[in-house]
Amino acid sequence: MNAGEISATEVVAKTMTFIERRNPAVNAFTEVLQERARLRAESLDQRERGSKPLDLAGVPFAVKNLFDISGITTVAGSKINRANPPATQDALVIQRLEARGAILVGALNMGEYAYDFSGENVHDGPCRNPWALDRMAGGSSSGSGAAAAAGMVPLTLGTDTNGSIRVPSSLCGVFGLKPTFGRIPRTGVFPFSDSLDHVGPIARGLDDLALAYNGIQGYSATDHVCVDRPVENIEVSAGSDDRPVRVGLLGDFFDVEEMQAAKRALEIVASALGNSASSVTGCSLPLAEAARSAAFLITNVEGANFHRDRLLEDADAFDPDTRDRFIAGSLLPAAWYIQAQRVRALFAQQAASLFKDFDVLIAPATPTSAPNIGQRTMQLAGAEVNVRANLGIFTQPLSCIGLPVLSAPVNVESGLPIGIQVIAAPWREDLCFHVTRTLMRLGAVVERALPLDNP
Amino acid sequence: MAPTRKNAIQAVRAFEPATYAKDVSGFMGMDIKDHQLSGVVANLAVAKKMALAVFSVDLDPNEFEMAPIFSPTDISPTPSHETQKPQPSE
Repeated sequence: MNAGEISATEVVAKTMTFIERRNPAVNAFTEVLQERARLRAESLDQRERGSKPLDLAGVPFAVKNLFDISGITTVAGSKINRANPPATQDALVIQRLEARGAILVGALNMGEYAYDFSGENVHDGPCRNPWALDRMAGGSSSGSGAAAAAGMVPLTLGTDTNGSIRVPSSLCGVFGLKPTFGRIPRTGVFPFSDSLDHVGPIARGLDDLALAYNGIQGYSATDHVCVDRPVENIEVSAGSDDRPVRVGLLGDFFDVEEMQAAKRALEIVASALGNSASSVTGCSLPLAEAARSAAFLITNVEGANFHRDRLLEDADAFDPDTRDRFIAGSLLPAAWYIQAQRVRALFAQQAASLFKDFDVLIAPATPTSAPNIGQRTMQLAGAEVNVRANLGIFTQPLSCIGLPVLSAPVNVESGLPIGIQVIAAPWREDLCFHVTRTLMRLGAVVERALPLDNP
Repeated sequence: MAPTRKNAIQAVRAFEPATYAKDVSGFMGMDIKDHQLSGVVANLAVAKKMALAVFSVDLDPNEFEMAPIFSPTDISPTPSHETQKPQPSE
């Protein structure tokens, strides 16, 4: 649009056609904002004549339906919230993207109250994986991953408490960034677990991900965990920056020896890095399993406390799976929660010391590519485990201590997409982007484009 | 294994999800219906596994550091004119 080759109005019209064509099969959108987007595009087209170009001019985007959108009820994937009045203003990050010229085109499907890794929603129907419609999109930001993967919009926003940006990014073959805890204000975003909730972008292309991340950064006192730091923009199209980095390949808890798709993804990445100027060494976070357990308990207790009134009012209005988890969480002993927080603090120290030796760490994003919709259990390291709880087994320990993590789609030769996590020390999102860009140059990570006739 | 950690682990091992759900829920205001019970008990069993993992970690019994769960920025500083008020004599 900045090159004058297309107007915002034309972009919106094309986007609506894509959504109309692809969404019925994928079920990523729960609300399409046709009129709002059209008006916004018209105003951008009028503004563009002679004024300073905006770096997201005319870029359509959509948000998980727990972000406030003015005039629409924030349902957060639930039935219960549908009785709430419409939001009176947009979430802060929506305002920020629109100030840079982006155009909000809709709200996206998600797991109920964000407590989900599958992308299956009993009220709105499952969000389907665009690469194989009988497969899960991953959750809880299922629509955010699927809409980007299906090419309905180039970028979306999601939230990540335990992996809800990284899991759908991995299963849908797109890029997702969970920034450092406290980097992005969550103002106007329906909560889940206050000490773990993050906001972040998902995109089909890495440059789009960087642009979206740049656009949503910035301190705001309206979110009590937001840290007052300068905006640290990622350079878009950074070219051939060959700066070598020290890469640690996480083992032990993150070992995927018996998980074929994840194992293959890591082999591709390790082999590419081994042929680069960067050093690659195996490493370990011995407390990772305990940290994953801590994240589970903290989420369970905080989420249950937040929903306590709703549970007491009408527990059966929840998705049965979510309901039973929240009821259990509301009963847990306080000592378990406190112990989990103490372990979390210790794990943060352990990770900090590892970053003295490594610039980034690499780990699998998910233990498997997308399971079938409706699948309840899967095999993991020889044991039958619950799908919904375990798709995020590798993401949970990392968000627990707020590290920035970029989930990137690996260039697997065939089959369903799967991603890896590029993990950096707090506030070093730049290193996540640098290493991901290097992996793209080496051919190990790829921007996957869904064929236009699918679905 | 330090005695404190051993005791804590034993306490978690003694946690029996089905009994706990029935005995404690009433005190917590939760009236668990029959069709909810098996799901709640299953989730308590998973939580017990997680609790065993966190209580198996060696923590310094003389230190107490929790992860930060709120930021000091949510506390409004006392306006300076308030702090400059004459203080009552002790």
